[in-house]
Amino acid sequence: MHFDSRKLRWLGWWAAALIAITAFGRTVPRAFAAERDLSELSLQELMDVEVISVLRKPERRGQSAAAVYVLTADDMRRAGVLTIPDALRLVPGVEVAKIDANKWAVGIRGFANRLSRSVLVLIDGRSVYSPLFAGTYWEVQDTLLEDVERIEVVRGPGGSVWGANAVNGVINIITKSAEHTHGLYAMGGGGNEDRGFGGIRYGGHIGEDFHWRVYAKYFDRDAGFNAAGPPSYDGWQMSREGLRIDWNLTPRDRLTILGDVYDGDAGQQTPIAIDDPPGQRTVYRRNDLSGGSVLARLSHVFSPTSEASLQFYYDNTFRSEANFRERRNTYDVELQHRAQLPWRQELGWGLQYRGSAGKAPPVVESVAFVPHSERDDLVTGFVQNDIALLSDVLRLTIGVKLEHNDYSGVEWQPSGRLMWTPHPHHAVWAAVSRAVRTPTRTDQDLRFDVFVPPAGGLIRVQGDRDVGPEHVMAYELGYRVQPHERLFLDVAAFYNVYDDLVVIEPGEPESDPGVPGSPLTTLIQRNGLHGHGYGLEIAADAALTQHWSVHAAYTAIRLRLASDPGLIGPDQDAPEDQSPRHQVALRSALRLPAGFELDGVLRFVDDIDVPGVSSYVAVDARLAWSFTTHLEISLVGRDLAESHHREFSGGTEVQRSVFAQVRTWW
Amino acid sequence: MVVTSTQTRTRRAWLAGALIVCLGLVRPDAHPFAQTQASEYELKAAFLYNFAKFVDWPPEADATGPVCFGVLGTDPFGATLDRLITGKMVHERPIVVRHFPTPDTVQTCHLVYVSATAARGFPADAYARTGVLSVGEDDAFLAAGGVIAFGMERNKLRFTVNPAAAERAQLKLSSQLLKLALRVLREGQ
Repeated sequence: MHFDSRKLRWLGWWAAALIAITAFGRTVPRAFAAERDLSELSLQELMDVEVISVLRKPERRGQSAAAVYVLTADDMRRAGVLTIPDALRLVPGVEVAKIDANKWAVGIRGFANRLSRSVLVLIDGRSVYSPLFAGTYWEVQDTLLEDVERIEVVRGPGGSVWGANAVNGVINIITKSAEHTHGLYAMGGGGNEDRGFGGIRYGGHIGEDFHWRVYAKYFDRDAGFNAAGPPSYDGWQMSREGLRIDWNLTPRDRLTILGDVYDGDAGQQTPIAIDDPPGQRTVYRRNDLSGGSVLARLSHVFSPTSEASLQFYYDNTFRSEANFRERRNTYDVELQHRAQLPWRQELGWGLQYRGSAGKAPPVVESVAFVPHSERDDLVTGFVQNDIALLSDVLRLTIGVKLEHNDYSGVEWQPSGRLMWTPHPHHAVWAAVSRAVRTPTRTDQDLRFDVFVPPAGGLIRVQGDRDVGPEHVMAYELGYRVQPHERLFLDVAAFYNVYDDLVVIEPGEPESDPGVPGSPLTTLIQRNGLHGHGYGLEIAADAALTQHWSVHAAYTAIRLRLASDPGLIGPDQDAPEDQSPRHQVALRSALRLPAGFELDGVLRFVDDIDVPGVSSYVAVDARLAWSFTTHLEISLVGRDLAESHHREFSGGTEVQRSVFAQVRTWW
Repeated sequence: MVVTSTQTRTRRAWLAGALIVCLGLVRPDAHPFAQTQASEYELKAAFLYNFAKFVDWPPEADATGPVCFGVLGTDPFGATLDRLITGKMVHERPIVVRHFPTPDTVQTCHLVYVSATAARGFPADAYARTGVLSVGEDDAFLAAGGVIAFGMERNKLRFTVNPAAAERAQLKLSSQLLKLALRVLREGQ
């Protein structure tokens, strides 16, 4: 009885599979008629042909005198990623290490850390850099990935027009215009680590000029592997809703409005120094994370050669951790103007003001910002001129950014770039730029006690009002070539000179007035780390056949930094040892007959000098099946090579994960 | 207990089978090319060829020789454009492809494709001319006086038409072309 049933069941599945294959197989020969002549199709028929983006917009990448890499929505879909940091793992020159299930260390050209402090992150023109802690809280940066048009990653400092903190690069997340997201999109799925996730978007238009969309998404993710044993504390869940409106007010004016709100909680392990023995307690708690933003941008075309935009946004964030809580309100207004001038020059300039007020009242005694509430004002201006020297063959771009901040006053950041395109398929560029990371309240106003178990003492990390900006001079060289219709190569090399990076100066141990007998060592933040770094980044895209493309990214980096005498130099937490010397990411995207896609990613990340972290190889795979243009079912496996591995210090380990996903468009 | 659950699973398997069969049968197969794919520039080349079929050139344009397709600036087509139009006719005239890498080499063609790079490096009067159907890559190109701009919608190629620019160039665009356009700009846009 039992045996027969099982047989019957298998027979059922096989019959279903067989019939399905036969049914779908009908269209195979036509779908694979690769050598058909497109010129014989009518315009209407051509409009039904799907574009395979075999080479990632070589034109866009080819024209800038900077190390730019573009990830498209299609790249992200086919890599099977569910978060923005995981998508960034495919980009050359970018380091992404998962700290725990809800935190990433992301860096460009080295210096990956929890908050990516030397990287400017923009989402549709809104900076998400936290002026309190200097950096980006990646766990709250998200949107419906289907609606992301592209993520542009610019390595190096000069690629940005807006100044602050783009020392090592800019990550620019750009969502699709509401004109291109009409209709219903829904997705959902689940697996062992990504336990459940779903998203829905609906877009429409009123008349020809008013386009809108709204979306909502939710996910619930499992905790990472905790080698120290239970508890598994870092699970997280979050929901997010948002909208976008693109409205052509007049033929020359376009209004874009964006908004989003999010709410969630993410588990964290927080050691808190206390006055009573044993000197420290560990709290496992879910951090409360919420926030929202609204942005309005008005673009006006004065003439075919002159256009301007005025943008305003308001951003509110709240986070509550076991030892820290902050609510922050940011207002930003900026004006940009671009105009073509005689002798084929293109002039751009802009002005920006940002006011950001944070309230961080102390939660525990061992962590405090003094004063706990403060407003930061930032005024920035830039001017940049692009000159075509020999028609299209040689272009020179010179620019300067000026900014005034409350901590170090006026900073100026000039850059010069030259691009030579001797042949349509070859381009060589070179750039020199100076960039500044401005001090933040963490450098100047933070007092933070850490308990050191063996000595039984306390270490107090103390900010100092004398901490100034960090500087970098960047020298870059790049070459792009398309040796064959189906092959695109992009090589960039850099040499950076770093000055005045922030390290700590140890003071003499003294007795802690709070705990009689226990020594207290104060470490004061100082600008005292200097040195240089150099590296090479290669990106290659090859369309091997019409249905199969491979993409490779290679990154090599060396940092050599030394601190001034008397300061605590690069130790195991210093940048020098935290950057993998070599990284490789290989991605294959293969279209099979009958609407199947088989994609894979193979990544190698070199060793870093952090206990418990060694080099690793990660394998991701995705099998997807599109029934029709309306429905896609996929099965994705991530980090398949090992059951778990550690990528960064502290936190938990990344586990093998598998999930299934259904996506539908109507 | 075991028996019941096995029976349930068996039933479920058959149900799934039936469902897949149904989906298979109702699979929209309305169009033979609904699922085909092409590389971006292969497809754009085919669009250019089709655009030319929907345009009447003014008498000022060369009406005797072959129809000329010009590519301004960096040529993103490689060999695809030449390969596609070899032996093809438009308005019963053969087509030739010519390349103008720099602004000083530009000559009048019936149709010119202006790559995004060229749109920045070339003055607008290199393509916004009488009798020239100019095709570019974005809305900025239309603002600069271009006639047709490509766009992308869910991985499918679309295009926007600027009738005012077409009128200035004294081109007659067929109503079918305007009907298929994603957007048709209004006067002054």
